[in-house]
Amino acid sequence: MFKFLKVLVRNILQGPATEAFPLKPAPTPDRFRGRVTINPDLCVGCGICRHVCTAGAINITPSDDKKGYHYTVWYNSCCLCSSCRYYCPTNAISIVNDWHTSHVQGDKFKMAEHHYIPYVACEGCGAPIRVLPAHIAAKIYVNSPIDVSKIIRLCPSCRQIATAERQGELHESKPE
Amino acid sequence: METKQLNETKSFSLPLGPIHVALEEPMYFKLDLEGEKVKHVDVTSGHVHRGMELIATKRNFFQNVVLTERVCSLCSNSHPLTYCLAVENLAGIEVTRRAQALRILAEEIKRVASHLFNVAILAHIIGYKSLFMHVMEVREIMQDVKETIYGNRMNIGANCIGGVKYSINNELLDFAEKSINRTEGHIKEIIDIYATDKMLLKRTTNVGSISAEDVIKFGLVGPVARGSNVAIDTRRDAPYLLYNELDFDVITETGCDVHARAMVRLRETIESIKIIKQLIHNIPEEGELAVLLPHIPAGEAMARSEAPRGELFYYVHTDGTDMPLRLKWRVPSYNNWDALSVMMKDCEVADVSLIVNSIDPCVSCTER
Amino acid sequence: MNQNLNNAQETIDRIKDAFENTDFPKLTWTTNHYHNYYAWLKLENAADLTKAMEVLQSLHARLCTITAYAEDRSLEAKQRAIAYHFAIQSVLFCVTIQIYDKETLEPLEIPSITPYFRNADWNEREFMEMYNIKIINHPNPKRLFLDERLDAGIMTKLIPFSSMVHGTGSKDLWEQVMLEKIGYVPETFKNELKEPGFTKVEETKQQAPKPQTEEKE
Repeated sequence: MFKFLKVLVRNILQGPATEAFPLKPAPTPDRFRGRVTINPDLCVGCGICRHVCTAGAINITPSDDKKGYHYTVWYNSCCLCSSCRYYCPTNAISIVNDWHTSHVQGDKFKMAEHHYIPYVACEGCGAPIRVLPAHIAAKIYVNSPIDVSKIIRLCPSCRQIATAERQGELHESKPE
Repeated sequence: METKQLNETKSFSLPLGPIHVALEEPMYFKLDLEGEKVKHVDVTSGHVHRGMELIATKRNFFQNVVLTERVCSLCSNSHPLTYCLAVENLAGIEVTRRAQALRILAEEIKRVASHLFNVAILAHIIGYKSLFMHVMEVREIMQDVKETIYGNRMNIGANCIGGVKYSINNELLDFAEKSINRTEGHIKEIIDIYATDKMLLKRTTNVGSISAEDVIKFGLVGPVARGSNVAIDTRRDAPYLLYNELDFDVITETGCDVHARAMVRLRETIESIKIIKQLIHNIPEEGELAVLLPHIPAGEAMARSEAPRGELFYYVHTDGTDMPLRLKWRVPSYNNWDALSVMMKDCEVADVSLIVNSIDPCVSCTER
Repeated sequence: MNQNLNNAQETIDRIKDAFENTDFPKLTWTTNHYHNYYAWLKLENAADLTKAMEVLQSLHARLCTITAYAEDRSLEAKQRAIAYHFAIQSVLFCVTIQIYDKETLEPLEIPSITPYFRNADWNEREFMEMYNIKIINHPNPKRLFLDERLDAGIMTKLIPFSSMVHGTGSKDLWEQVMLEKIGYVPETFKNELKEPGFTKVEETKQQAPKPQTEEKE
């Protein structure tokens, strides 16, 4: 009993161990998983996030005019497992440490992240595409002489042709 | 006349539960009593049966990593880990050494927090509230480590098929090391209190005894088995990950009672801290992930690991689609429940919740 | 890593000795990158089960768990099998047995293994109620998880709510979210036949039929 009394006295002298929230802000680590957020510029609509999402919190629906798609994450289904962020090939998804998502019942359907993500026309054939994020292109063509800024606005098949042509040119101009 | 009436009502049955018997989880006990002594115990479960094994067959392999993490919160890292081990056994995936080290780090941090939680609840049940508060506060240091490194206090989301989902840097490792050292000091103090405090000893020694023979007969695992001097530990018996390169002891006690089990848990946290310390300075350099989205072939595989409560077993059976045909897991608590009939034989009614807590029960794990 | 193999070798030899010169089918061995060893025994007839249990008991095996499963994903399929999982020191041992008549596909009854392994009690009770498997001579054949008023094997008829809505918002729910966030529900979404949010169910080759929503009164 005496041993514990020592601990008890020490703890009393230390003061409260609890946070004063909501009177004071609660300290939150940088990595804390509070809320999913999307960078619409980087999303290419591949859907891997939806495939790995256990909770089914991600919805991707093409717009009626087919000129883009609606990307929606409903916070109330999301279990913050971070699978979408982990498997996203373009790092379009991040999880911020803002956990202040409490809301009244009537607002529950508003608690979602929504983006309309438009397609752009392929500079080669005009097909609707998403621009390949530059940092991904740089990774794919890391040891290649190809100028990535010229091909990121092409659809995959036009890009293939452009790359092959460029490589052909380089091959021809190479001194024997 | 009066004495006769007392005799007539001497044996009766007492319903206990399903609400809050030891932990905040539902389990119903029907106790047949003679006076204050428990003569027979009947366990009724099923209050939180969620059909998770059926749901698992309707989710793809990657979704199931997250689903299994939600089986239970206290061993929420052991479930996805063992599931991933089973799937990797099936697909023949070799995980990088760095990923193996990071998996062990997550596992041992969880183990320290889980064990401290259980011994704290022991103090709570015997009415030693100030000790309960103190142990929970020490556990809070580990909760902060989880929150800082993994981003969540319970569902840390460390594992994925083929590796780990998180990376770590020196700053975080320093933080982990400082926290571990702080916890170690506190735990040593707590061990001393639990080993010598007269009130604690009086309530917990020779309560809920189970012999080594019965442990083997009932197939018990984890701290319950080790508290009865049966040295089973999957980390030592069938080493997985990097465990056979790490230095740690399998803790056993000979008391066979509630106190012995609590001491096993407390002393094991020190072993876990020893493992974490060895890892912090020797995390291999190569990448975290072996393969991003592997194809899982048709077949069957088993895997087991040592969860905080003992051996956790996973069996996966696949048919070549991207969802398992059958996913079955057996949690350590599952075996331990049945043995309560032995532990509670002739115990006092007042000790029932203490004995239930001593198997570190997990109802949501058991019923799935 | 070879340390694991050395430790396991003696156990592997013991298991091989016990099973090799007998009528049992040949054991299959698998391993993983940590050099954990797994033995698989596929029994061809149900009568061999108790014989296998006797051998395993003599090897001081510990029953890990028992898995009952349907061999086919479709809910109507009657072909059930049971896998018994044991730990023999470092080796995991799995005995699989099909519990239906190979010609008529009618289910067979199987004996309880509780005389050999006491902790089979709960496992057997669980699959009796979940898969409607008949066990002979079970010492305590009452319900484990399911209420007495429900039929055994009802889990193949009743689908958990979360599974019915695919663990996610239903179509109605997403329409509400879209009304709030887009202002209208896109026609493309309304026309989508499959449940949103959950992609793969329709695309896998064997798909479970839609749950029967008959009310049982």
